Amino acid sequence: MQFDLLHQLGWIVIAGLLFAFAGKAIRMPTIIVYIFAGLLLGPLSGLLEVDHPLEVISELGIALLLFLVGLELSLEKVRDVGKVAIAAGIGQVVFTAFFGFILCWILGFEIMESLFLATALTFSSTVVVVKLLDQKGDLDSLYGRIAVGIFLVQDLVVIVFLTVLAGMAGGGEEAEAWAIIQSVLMAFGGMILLLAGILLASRYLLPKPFAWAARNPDLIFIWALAWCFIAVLAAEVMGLSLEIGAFLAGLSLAQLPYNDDLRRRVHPLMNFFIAVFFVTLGIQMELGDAVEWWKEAVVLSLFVLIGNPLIFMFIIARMGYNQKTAFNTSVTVAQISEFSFIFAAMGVSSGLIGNSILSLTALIGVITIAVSAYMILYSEPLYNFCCRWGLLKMFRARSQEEDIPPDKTKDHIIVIGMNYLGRRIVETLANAGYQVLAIDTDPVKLNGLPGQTMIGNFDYASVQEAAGLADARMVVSALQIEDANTLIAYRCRQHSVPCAIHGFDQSLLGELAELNIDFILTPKLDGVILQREMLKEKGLIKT
Amino acid sequence: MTDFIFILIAAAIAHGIAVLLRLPAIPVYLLAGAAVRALMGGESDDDAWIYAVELGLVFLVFSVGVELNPKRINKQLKSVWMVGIVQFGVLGLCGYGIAHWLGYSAIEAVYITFALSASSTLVVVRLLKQRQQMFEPYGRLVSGVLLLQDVFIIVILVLLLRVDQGISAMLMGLAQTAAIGGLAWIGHRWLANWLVIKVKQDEETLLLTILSVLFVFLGIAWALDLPLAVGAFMGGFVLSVFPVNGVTRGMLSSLSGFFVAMFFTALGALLVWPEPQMWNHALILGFFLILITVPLVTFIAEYTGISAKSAIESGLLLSQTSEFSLILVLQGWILMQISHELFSMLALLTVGTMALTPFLSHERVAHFLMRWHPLIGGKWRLPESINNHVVILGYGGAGDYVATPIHESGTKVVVVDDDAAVIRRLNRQEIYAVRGEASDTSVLRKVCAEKAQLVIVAVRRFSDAEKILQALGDCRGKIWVRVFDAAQAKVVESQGATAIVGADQTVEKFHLWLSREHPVEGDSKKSESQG
Repeated sequence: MQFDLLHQLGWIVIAGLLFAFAGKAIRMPTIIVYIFAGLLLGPLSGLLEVDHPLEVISELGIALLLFLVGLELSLEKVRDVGKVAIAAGIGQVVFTAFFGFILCWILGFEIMESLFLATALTFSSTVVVVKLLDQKGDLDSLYGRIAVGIFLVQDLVVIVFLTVLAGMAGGGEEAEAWAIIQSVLMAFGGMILLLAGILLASRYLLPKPFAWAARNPDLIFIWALAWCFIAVLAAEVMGLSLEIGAFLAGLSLAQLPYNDDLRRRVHPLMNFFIAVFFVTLGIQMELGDAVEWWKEAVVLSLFVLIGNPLIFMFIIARMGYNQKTAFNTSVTVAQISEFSFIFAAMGVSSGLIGNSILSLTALIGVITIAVSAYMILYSEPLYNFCCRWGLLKMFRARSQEEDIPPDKTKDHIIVIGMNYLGRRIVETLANAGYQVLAIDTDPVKLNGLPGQTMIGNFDYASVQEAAGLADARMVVSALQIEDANTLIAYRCRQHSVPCAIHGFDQSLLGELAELNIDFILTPKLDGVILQREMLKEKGLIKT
Repeated sequence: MTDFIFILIAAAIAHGIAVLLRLPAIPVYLLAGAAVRALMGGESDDDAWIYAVELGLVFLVFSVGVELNPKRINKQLKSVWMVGIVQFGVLGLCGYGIAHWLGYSAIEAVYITFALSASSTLVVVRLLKQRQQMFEPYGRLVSGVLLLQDVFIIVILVLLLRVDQGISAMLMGLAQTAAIGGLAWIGHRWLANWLVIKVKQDEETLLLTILSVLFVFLGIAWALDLPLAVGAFMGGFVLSVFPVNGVTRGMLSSLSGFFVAMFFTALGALLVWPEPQMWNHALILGFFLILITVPLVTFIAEYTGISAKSAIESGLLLSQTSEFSLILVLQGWILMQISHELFSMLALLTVGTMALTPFLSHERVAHFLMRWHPLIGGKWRLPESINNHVVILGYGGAGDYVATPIHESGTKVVVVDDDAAVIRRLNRQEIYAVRGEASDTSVLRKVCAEKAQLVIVAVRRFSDAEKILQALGDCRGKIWVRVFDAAQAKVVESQGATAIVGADQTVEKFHLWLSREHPVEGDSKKSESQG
């Protein structure tokens, strides 16, 4: 074994972390720091090159990211935004390509170069935007759903473009033209087939096996991943992108009651793979003589950063959405995609354009991804700024709110571990009028309980956050797992939330007392005390 | 990508089968990997399987390192060292002897020796957790022994990597391992808490921090030409301090779960079908492994103060080869110190012994073996005839609160417990105490349980309580059984005995405390307005 992959991953992870720490100081979004880390490891130092295993890991990251998006959405939510996604997705491609072509032509590029550049400017990056929305916690918001819908429509358009380009590179004879039409038809047919298959599976195939698997957290996790990649494989066979396959797999599982738990489990895995993807993206950037094109890069970047959102704002406002939703959605399209690089690279390899166009595309990519990341993460102050200066009035969008965030749970009691003790505590507290949230990894153990329930492992920071640990009135652990209990006690102390922990063995009581736990649940000891009372009644104990 | 997906699908199917058949997942992963590879024939991409093994190995060893909190072993340090060293040493010696007798070369025999010496942390800890026995004294002992053996294997990996280069290279390897261990110790004591807890990080950066620790130590191991497992293990050890280990576990569990499944499945794909003679060797080695481990561990564990039944259970639980054995023989095969066939045979031995463990360590097997235990019962210090006394079956931590006051009130008390130390202490207090299994009918007869005015059952396992109720037949009316939940109480009461449910008392106490300290909002406002 040569351990090349580990070697590469080591550099990527360590450089990613160092850049993340540095970026934190200037509030730089992590995806930008990852790309910069990649630029350092690749084009600037020549330390790393991207080979097949790294590409596979990057692809896994993309698939997991889109799988997570699917897990987050219900079918109803997707259906709600279907119309706007198709209209805006296709509308933007047409407008951006048209105006982009004219702009490139004015800048002095040849017809073929202008065609390639305009197409490259058309695509926005699904991965970048979804990652940022996930970081913001806005994937499930109305604008987040519209954006995801638009990007998936664009993914389909990308497939058509790449198919046509592959045909053009082949020579453009009659037979090739027929092959292109066949491929495009196959992509659309495949999309319909995959969607139907996934929906049917979600309704008839998945519920029973996943209900069985849900009792074993490790099993349901690996089954969900396998399902995701089966869909990816199916998408590949049908000539679709892996993003579409992974998204549909997630969507099919989102209809099951375990989707939240799965999402929380997949999240750390995705974080790792997607970090590798972004650093790899930086490594692959072929900047070459891009600096010589800096003026053109600035003009075209401004077109993407301002022009694309304007086009979108116009389309979405026309479809009846309010000003804020239209603005937030529009901001998400202000960058070009990793597909743009692939598209330009294919143009170079087929001899239709020169290397300089590829370098220029890479430079526009770096600029637009970096700036749009800030725009997406700080869309709220940007929106307020635009409103203050009356910049959005010309779009005449509605002004009333349509995306009301749900109330966050507060002042509740979290009870972890639904064994007999946990269930009794939940029932007693709920009867007494407390607001209770019961948590267990086994969905069956949560059946029939009063109050709110959540499937999950409280070891995970994401579960603690979703359960509203920081705002809880108290946390009670009925678990019989020493490590988990001590960690819960520690987390509670960090958030200044009182806690009650199960001291299920006498040997643990001393340690628990040292952790300053507010109440130690001691059923064994209480059994002994009850027994002593009974012995007294029987006259076997004097006092 | 396609090969990678096939590995994942194979792992998913294997895990499902393992859960269905109640087997440990590891052997089924290995078999699934072998099956998929056979089905794919020459069409598979070797690199994908090898990369999965590489990544999986690193994450597996790293996650084991994270569990190596020395504090956990501190409680039973002496017992852990005794059982760990004797099992490792004796089993190793016997393994070498058998391997030599079977005609293997010296270096092959050494690999066989150490492959047999360690038991599986992943399998045993999972079984202990499932049976809720992690925190019983023997559960702590067994998990301590496993961690110690993992450390031994890490050192052995270094020695075997350098064995071809001579003694001085081996010694240098040991010194380098000690140095990297020292570095890890510094990180464990002074760096981990600051890095993971004190520095406020979001989930994403925290994951990168944890992985950076892993990769830094992998880099050091690589620079020193040590096995990567050493780096991964030391990296894990850095993060094994509380509460860093808890945070790390939470961040890492999905990642390591994924990669570990991929590791074993991909490793399965690297196996070849051994010659019939090799199968015989696997059977012989497996047979001796079980035959030696059970009595050996039982004897030492009991010597260190563990009860007879728990000692037997410890022996049964440790009767398999380890996932670390797989790493060891994988290294041997890569270094061409052992043949591909021997690597496969030892991996299949691991499959077999791991698959056997849940059945072998079943309570019934332990009960069956108890019959042959020469020392069970100990010396009897009971009067020949005793009646109207109170029998306490299972002393535990709560026995003092019951036995002593009854004894002091003038009623005769007879305690049955399997812990020799408890028996000695009670005898010193002049309380009748008998060492034995409370659920053993002969013991119940000897303590004249049927003539007692009251029998208090406070055994750890409910299955033992059920056996006692069955054995005492007609006099169930005077039996009190301490139980944990309503379902157990129902079983006890349906047999005419009295159930004492501690959990209900706890809930009541907790509710009282809560309504005083943190009243429901309405109540607090009410009390404020009243005030």
